[in-house]
Amino acid sequence: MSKKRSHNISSDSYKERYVGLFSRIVVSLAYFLETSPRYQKTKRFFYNILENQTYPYKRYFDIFMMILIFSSVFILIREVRHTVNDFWAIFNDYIISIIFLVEYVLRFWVINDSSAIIIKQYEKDELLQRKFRVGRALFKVLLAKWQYVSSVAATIDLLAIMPFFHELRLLRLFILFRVFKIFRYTQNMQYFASILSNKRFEFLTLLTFASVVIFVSSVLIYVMEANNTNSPINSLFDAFYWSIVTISTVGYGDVTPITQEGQSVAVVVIIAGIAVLSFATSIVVTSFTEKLDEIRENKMLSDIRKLKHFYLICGYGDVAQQTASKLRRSGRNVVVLDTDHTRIMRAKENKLYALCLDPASLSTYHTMGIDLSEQVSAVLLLRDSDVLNVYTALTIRHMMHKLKMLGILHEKGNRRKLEIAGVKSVVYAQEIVGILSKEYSGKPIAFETMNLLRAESSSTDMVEIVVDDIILSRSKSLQALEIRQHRLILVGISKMEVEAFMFNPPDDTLLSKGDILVLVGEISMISEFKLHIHQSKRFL
Amino acid sequence: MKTHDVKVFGFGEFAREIVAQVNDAYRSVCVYTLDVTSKEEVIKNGGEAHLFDLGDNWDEFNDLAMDETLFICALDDDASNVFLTISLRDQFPDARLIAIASTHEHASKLRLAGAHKVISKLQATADILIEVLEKPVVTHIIQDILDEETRLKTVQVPLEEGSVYIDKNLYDVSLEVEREVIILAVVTLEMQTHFVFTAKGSKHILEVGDVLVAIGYDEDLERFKRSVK
Repeated sequence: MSKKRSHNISSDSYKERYVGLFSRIVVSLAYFLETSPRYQKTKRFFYNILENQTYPYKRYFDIFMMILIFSSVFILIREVRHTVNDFWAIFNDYIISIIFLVEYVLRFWVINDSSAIIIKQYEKDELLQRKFRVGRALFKVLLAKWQYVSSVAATIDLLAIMPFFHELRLLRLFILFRVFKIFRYTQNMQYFASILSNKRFEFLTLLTFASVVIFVSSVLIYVMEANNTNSPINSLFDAFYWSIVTISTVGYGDVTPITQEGQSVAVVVIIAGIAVLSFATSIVVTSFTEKLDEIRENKMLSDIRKLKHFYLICGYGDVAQQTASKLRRSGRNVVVLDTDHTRIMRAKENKLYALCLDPASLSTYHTMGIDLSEQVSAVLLLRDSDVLNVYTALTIRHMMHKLKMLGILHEKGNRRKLEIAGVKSVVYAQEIVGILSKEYSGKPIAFETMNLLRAESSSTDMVEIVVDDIILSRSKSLQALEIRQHRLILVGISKMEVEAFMFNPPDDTLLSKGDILVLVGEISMISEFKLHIHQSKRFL
Repeated sequence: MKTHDVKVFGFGEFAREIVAQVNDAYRSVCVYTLDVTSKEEVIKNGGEAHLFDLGDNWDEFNDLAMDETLFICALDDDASNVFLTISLRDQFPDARLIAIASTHEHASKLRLAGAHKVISKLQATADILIEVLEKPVVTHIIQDILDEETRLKTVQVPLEEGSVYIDKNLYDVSLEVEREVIILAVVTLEMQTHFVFTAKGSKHILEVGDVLVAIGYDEDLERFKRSVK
């Protein structure tokens, strides 16, 4: 009994060890991919080419793909009556299919960031001080990929690859799915379809009207013409065919009524046809004029809901514009709320998610349908007055007590009011300018050096690195991190357990989980250092 | 180049904050305003104030030691501030000028007008907001450095003839003093900044006229300054 129990324990311990090893490999690999400039650069390039509508070279790729699609369809048509030579057959069956397959695989790769999902799960587990759940992380990765694979666009892409298996004759027809791929490369087609889908009721009404006219006129023309031996309308199908051709205003002339009664019916059908055509045209035109703004707004809301994290900026004045554009440049998502339509238009022009909604109203957040605690990293209260900022802060605090809020102060005396309203950091522009003026006047060179060190355009930076389990597994003290060897300078360490900042700590300082290292150095060296400290001993 | 006198032009909300910050740090801080009310307010609070206009009559500055004086152009009106900057630069080519800009466009005009340093209100506020969001610990350090009350400071130490560090390698010097202060960079006579962690910076041989930029605690920095001499 005891032997069996000890066997079970040792088996569990082995299992745990292997899971632990596997977890470490997965996290190390995720960090490796996340911090590898070459990998990220390559991925970004393919993402831009495939998905980023603003990427200047994307349109060349789109044109190339459309040429392939039309070539493929042309070859299919040509094959109907002519013999296509081997080169074109191979080109159609293999080369185009392989290109589409490569495109599908690339889209599958770039559509989301699997390493980021793993790192996020890992850091969340670390933060909550629980064991890293590698299974959950991998499930999230697979789920994210499945969401892509099961999308309509991806399904069409997959079907378009099918002609590769040309031995199966049926699958050759899937070449036609290549035509649907055009939707991918022409954004306007996507807009067009979404606009028209909003007028379903009108189109249904039109269809009902047209169906009634076709039915009645078919029966009438059959009754009027079928007994006349000179009439080309001899069956109900002929009558139906004539009605369709006439109401659509095509009028081939191959089937025409010859009796006076039949011609009278034709006059009514022709007039009804003009009405149907005008009605259809007006539906398309009005749907464009009425719904485009609304569709854009809905699409933006849907895009915002899909964002994993973003900064919420309330108010889009001058400071907000500067802040938002800097955040965007550093790759952060920003959502702007303002009641001024002109400002919102400006924000949209600056390629931001912007909604003309009142940030101080609860209904705004219900309309947005966002998860404040999960999606919003911080709220920036940058409205035009302290009154509005306090009111907005209390609205947000009412919904989510712990959300991080920052705000600008307009009147010095109102600082305390903003703090009471829950604004964690209050920034008073006048004070900042005063302090900076003083610092510059006393130590201009030191001031400029510090500025240069942190400047956006500079190749240097001052960064924070949180000590996690992986770092601890290879380095117990600062010395083992080999900071100097990576041509970096450690300014200090924020110790979690004592909640204090140690400036220029000695090399033998022991590391603890959650400590924050503040380093200065060249950005490329910082990335390399991050990679170095996140590689586990075993992985090395 | 040690500043003793500060001349602040304007007395709007930004200029007031500048005066409040620099008031105790220099031998004299004088406010120049365009209106009598502001002048009276400064004097009432125990400060020194004068009226001025945007004409070319700057005779009272002719006797000033320009290397000891700092001019801060902080008029509320953008156009007037640019005009004031260009007037001061025209009259006193050696004067050290700081100008406060409200927008990016205004900042570039002030630079063209001859300001040594332009502090953009918007840029400074946006930078602080982003640093608080993205790098809270770094922000805390910067605030500590800027705060007079805390011990953490930055210094700029010029290397003079006879300094023990002349002809030494910057990286070696940084290692030599690393237990006391952190040497971040050297600024050469040609005003080029070389960070100690860059390949170029680490190989730099220190010369007379170079300025070392370091971070440290008050007492360590004082010791470091003495050791440099």
